[in-house]
Amino acid sequence: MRVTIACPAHMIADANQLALCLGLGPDDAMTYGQPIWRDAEGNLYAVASATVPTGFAEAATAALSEPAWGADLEAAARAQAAILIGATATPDRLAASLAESPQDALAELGLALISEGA
Amino acid sequence: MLEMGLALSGAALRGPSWSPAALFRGGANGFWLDPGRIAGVWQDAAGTVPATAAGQPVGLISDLSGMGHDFAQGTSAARPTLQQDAGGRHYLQFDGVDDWLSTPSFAWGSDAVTIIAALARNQSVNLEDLAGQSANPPGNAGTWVLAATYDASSNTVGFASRGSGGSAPGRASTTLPGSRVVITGQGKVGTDTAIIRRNGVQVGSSSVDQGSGEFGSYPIFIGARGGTMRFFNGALYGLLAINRLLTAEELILAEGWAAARGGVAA
Repeated sequence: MRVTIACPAHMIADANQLALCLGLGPDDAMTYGQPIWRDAEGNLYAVASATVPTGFAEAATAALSEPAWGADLEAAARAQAAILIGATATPDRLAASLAESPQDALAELGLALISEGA
Repeated sequence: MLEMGLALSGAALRGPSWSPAALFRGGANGFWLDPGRIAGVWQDAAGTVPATAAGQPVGLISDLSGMGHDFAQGTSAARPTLQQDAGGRHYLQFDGVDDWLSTPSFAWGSDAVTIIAALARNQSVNLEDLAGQSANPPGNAGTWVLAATYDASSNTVGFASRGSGGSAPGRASTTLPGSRVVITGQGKVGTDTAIIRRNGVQVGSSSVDQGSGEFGSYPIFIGARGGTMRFFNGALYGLLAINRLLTAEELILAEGWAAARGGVAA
């Protein structure tokens, strides 16, 4: 199963704390990188997309515990509360798509790359 | 027809025993990645959990050149995926969103590069880097880059390089009909060489002054520019880069190897 999550730019720090709690190591604090995606209104997002094991959805909504490598549980909880599956991206939530194709997921989320020079 | 003929010539010259290892026996620097040798493909960045089946994440792929330039990804969601095509060939699938791998920084050790990739590109709408030195090639001095989508408006792949001593990068690009291809980039600062080859044929070049000096000491990124942008959406079947210009015969052999890895000459 693949999960693709759009994280509004102002929520990146919190979302990376949630990624630490759900991930496999301290490097998961960099799951959400540069906000290079935008919605139709021009709001910016970082996007993470990955295949995840069965049971990920349950784990992502269960009570959080601090991993061995540490995490800010309050920040992680704020991010967790903002997750909404099957929604388009908006600046007030972490919109998640379960589409198998990352490009289909981006379309569902309503996101496009910000333009850049060659 | 001509391109396929040259690729087949490479297969005929190569013979069953040739591998890119032959290019590195003289101590040349570079790297050689082959997802088909899954004994060197790992799910975690530390290289402790082997990748054994399609669909598994790839946190590390070992450099087969003997130079030790393994490519790794510590962030779970940013790992490409091991996949296998209908012909049984393993490849790394990059999702075009956040997948990339990199080496630690190392000194390239010369002003020359030959980079050869077997790839299948899924799109040509967004700019994409396949492999490059540093977080911003060729903007940073002393760097090279092979772009899977070099100019989205004209559907091209491209190569660029520049020396450490100022000047502008030499850029060479070509259109990319279809998606599965062997692309070669060759650069040499001292001779202002920038060449792009497609399926064994030179299809573009530049003689723009690339300045002076060697390529620098940087990490190498594959799948994105600096791990932050120009994410590659496609399949990587094989990749080798070496810090010299290959001879004509070596090019045929190495491009033949890549064509076989990607099923391009079949």
